[in-house]
Amino acid sequence: MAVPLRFRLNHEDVEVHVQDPASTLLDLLRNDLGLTGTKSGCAIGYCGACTVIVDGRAVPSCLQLVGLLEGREVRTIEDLSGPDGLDPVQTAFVTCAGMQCGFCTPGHVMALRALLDQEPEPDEERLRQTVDGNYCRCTGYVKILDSAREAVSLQKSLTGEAR
Amino acid sequence: MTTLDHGPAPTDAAREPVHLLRAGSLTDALAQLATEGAVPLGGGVGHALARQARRPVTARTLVAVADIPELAGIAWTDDRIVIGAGVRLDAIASDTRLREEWPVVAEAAGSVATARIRRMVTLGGNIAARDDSHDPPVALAAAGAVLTVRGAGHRRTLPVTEVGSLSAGELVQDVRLPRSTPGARIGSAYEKFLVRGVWEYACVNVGAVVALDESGTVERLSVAVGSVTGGPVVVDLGALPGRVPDADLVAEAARLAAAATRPYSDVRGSAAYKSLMIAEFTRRAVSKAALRAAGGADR
Repeated sequence: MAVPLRFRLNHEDVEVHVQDPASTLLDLLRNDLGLTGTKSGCAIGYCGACTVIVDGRAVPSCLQLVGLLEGREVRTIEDLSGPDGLDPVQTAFVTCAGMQCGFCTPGHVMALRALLDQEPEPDEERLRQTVDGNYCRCTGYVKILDSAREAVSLQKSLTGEAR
Repeated sequence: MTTLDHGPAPTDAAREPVHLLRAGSLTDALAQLATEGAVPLGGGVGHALARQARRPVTARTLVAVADIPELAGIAWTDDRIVIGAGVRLDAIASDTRLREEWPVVAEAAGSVATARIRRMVTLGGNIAARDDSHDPPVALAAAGAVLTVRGAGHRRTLPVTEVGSLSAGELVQDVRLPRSTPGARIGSAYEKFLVRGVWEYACVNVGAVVALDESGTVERLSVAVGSVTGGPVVVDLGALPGRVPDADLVAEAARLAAAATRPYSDVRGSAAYKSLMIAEFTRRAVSKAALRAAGGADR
């Protein structure tokens, strides 16, 4: 028996009927809603590739039970955009070449987006903490942290222009 | 034993449908938990992991309790700190007052898994999972924390080490920590040994609390060890209180901790190796706690 579930997904109200409320948000996004920008890696919360933003907080969607989403606000990588088409965080990853295979990138981008929404000027320690929980097996994190720093300054300059 | 050790069942193993109820209040939750096969659901992490490992899930009904108001927040009174069972581990790890008064608890909460997972895991769920290698129960056992347990028509308290006596229909409402008197010389510390360094369950984990009297003599000394059979185990430290916290006392506490606990062999190390690590990490935890009690730099 399918149960109805209502929540906000990328700024739109959605109602989905799920067979199993204890299935995961990751499966719902990728298999039922076709939002495949969120990647499925380890499926036990450790690799961070599946990170999405739930109520402003970056969490692994493979551990998020869909039944607990009722009334919540979910943002996925598909939601991101900016004045130039890309979100400043995405632009920073392009500028600094913060990826090689790119599989972990949506997770890093969403985690940094959530951080910058809460703390527009995070220090180095906060950036490092934000990368925690997101495996990258290609870059060794140097370029990812470069991208994170670039994202902070890009965001700052954009906010400055908006004023 | 930890959840990640289980080999998967066949991929075609049938999954029974599960009902998920959202409780709006404690009264709601207790009524829902009174039904056959109902279990509380905190952040859902343990449940998601069990499913991913394709372990059989016996619960028919999950009652989502993490967001009910009676389980929320950290409340401070003159003689105790009450941490709601629904409080997420990242909130505990970053609570400034808790870091000051019970660093062992904040450090243990902050050492769990990764930052992203700590945003989801509730304190109550972490404790009620009864996993001997979970970090917060070890710290709370060393600190002498007490659980408030609610069931249909009753309320009882039990030490955090007796969480195994929770019965069907019961729910952990909060965790209570004692307050120290102003100016008391008390220090605590948490030490977790990870074979790989990051992002895994502990090989061994140790919490220590040291209280000194005005002359600098140990008034109270408490050590709890996790990742051992029946853990967390609060170690009987016999006649150690009453002595000064010197290297001999620390060594004796480490010896007693290793002797009093029974680690098990697994992928993180043999039982014999873990006993050596228990001694070493007890030494570190007690030393740091004693330093903090004495008002050392690393408080």
